Amino acid sequence: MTGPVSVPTNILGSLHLARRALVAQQTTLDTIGHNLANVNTPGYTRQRAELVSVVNQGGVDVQEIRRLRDRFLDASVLNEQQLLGRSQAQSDILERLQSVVNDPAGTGLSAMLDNLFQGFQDLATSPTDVATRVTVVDRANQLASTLQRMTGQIDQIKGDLTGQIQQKVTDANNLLTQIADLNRQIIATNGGPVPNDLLDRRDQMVSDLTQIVGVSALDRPDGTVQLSLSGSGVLLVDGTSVASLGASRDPGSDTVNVTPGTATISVTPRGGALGALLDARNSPTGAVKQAQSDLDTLARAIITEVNRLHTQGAGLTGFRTVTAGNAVTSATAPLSAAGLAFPPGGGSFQVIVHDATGAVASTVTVPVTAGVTTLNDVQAALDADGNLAATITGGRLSIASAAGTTFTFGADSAGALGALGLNTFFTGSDARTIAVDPTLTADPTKVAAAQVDAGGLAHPGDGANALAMARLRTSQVMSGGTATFTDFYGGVVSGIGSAARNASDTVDRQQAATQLAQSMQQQTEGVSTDEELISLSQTQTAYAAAARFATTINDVIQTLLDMGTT
Amino acid sequence: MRVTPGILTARITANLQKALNGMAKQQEQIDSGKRINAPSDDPGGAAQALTVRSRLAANTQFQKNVAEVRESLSSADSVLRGVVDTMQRAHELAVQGGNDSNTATDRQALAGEVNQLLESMVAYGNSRGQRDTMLFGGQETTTAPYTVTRDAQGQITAVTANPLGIDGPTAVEVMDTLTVAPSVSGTTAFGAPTDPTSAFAVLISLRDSLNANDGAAVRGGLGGVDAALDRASMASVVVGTRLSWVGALDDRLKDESLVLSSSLSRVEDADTASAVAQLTSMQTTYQAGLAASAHTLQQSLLDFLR
Repeated sequence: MTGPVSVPTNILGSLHLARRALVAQQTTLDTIGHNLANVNTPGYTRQRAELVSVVNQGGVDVQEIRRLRDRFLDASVLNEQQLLGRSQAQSDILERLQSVVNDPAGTGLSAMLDNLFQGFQDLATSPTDVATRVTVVDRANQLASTLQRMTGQIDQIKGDLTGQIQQKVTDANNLLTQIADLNRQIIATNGGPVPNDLLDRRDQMVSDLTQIVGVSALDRPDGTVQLSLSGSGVLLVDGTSVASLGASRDPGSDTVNVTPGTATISVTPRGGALGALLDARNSPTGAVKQAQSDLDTLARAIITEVNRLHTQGAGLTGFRTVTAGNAVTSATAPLSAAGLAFPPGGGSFQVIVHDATGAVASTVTVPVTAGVTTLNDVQAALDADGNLAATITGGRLSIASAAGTTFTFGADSAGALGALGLNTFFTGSDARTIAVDPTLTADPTKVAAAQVDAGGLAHPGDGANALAMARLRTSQVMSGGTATFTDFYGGVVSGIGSAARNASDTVDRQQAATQLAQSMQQQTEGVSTDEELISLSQTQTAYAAAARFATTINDVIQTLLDMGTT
Repeated sequence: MRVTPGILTARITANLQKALNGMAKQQEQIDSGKRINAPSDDPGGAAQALTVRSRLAANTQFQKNVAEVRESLSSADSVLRGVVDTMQRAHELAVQGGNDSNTATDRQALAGEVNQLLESMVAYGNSRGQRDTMLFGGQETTTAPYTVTRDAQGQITAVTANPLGIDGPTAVEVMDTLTVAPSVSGTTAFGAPTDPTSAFAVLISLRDSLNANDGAAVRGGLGGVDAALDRASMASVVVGTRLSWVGALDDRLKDESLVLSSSLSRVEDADTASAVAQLTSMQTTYQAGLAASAHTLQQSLLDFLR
């Protein structure tokens, strides 16, 4: 409307004008008080009483109490926060994983490996010394239990991750329910003044939720917010209805799955802590499972390489009887398809029987044809020798020699001895199951430091096999023949180390980004006490002025009334 | 820009936190004396430290092996010197006994001394090393390599070697892929058991020739005695040379150990002086930050509104 502002046409109208001015300034004062009181409330958006001049009657009125917020700044804070939540969770996991392989004092896995190889060196130098043999077995036990302990620690991390995921899902569900409830309260105020404080509380909850699970928020015309999982777009909150999240563990794939509402397919939220936790728990290439499989690879290679040499060696004393450590699923199936952890290839292995003087009584060469030879064939070939009796019980081969004789194992080009678990050094097939062959623990003279010579004789002072095992220290048997055991483990350690470092760097960067977004948001939405105090003085003056106006009008009316009486 | 107390507090908290984190990191380095306290401090360095430490462990082991070989070789050396002396005496006795001016009694006296030499030669052959294992048994370290057959008078008539062998090669690793035999085989020192010029065979035949007062046979046996003497001298030289070579090797291993230790220290040890200097500088920053923020946060319009 253009033109001069309409003025009250009667004196009582002027009183009304004064009243409206007083009420408006009072509301402004209240708003300032509200702002000052909430200067430290998280998620609080400063409010301002928007004053407008009143058309026709003149004076001032409060049009609305407005929240000074910026949707785009809010959205960028949400986004940075979900990335922060994710990177923090990732960093925490890697920090824990790192402590499993951390070895500043040199007493970890790598030292245990070195110790074992040193033990083999000592054994090569003094093969007849029983104390040296006991030491070798002892060090091998320490190596095995270190691998087992590390696996146990990784299992613990996985278990804790499952627990954390369930906790986060519960937290997220609580927030979802509360947000839907606030939505309901907001709808109930429709038609009345804008429920600024309800909106603030709800936005704060959405922000909390975002740190747990990445969501995108959509404002609806009725003041409610609609939340959907960022990425998959599955609706979590729509008006007052909620789709709760559920978490369940799938033992088959060793994963934990999160499903929204009644959906049957699992979702992996991109942002938020939950996303990082699920990634770490489930991804086969994630740090946790990768560390687990690296340890298994290392343990399996140690078992394979040490056994390959040990099974073809001879101890200080020969065997009278021996029972295989590994059982086949079927004695009539080819060995390569009989459920053995280390299936043999093709070739042959030798068993040499010695008489009481140590001379060769007989030599049996057992041929093993890949994909053909069964355990029954092996048993028959051994049993055919007059000095040996071979039997199969429960899928395990047992060999015994005639009275007064002992037997040792010779060259094995098929890897059949390691496969069956005969004359092995380690049992098991991965980091969880690795252990020293109980035969050696019971009788360390069975540690095969020697190799039978060309004539089939085993000599007590021969340390050739022990030396061969000691030399595994420098053998490049890992990563396709490019790395030693120590190199490989060093790679695992530095891999986890650099992942942990990257993650903590990411947290630092993300913290800075979140701070920046938050301070941008604060610039618009935060309460400044100085500013409010200035407004306070200003409003106080305006209030006093309006009050003076009311007094003056009152005086004018009094004058008018006095006119009538004189 | 519009600055609110909230922005100020958040920023101050973050900055103080960052300074404290940095100080904690330096403090940890100073306390532990290590630059790498977790693999993330220097992932590459952590892996390198593992490798160097493993090489250091191997070096320590090689030094231990060298000490072991040295002891064994020293034992073999002293025995072989005895063998050489014995054969030299046998040579003298053979020369003396070959002279036909000797009577049968003279030669019997000489035969008696040769018999003594034979007994000590068998004892030399069956001598043990520092770990109570046979020095000249090859891989048969627990069984005496030589057994003797005696006649009714208790005289040695034959010396036979362990049928399981006395020549099995033994080796001790003293450097990566480098091995040293801790002794020589019985054959190298005393001759093959069936060889007529073996130390035992020549002594038996010399004694028997002297006893038989057969001057020609004594003179004829001199060649065999000299062959056995040469063999023993050769073995003694081999062992002596090996001994000094192993000694040099020991020095090299010790040098390498020093190099490895210092490279391990370079990889993982903290530079305490620089860590302390950095800590001090961080402390200064931290204190300045504290003082400034205390000042900023105290001030507000309230101080001036009356």
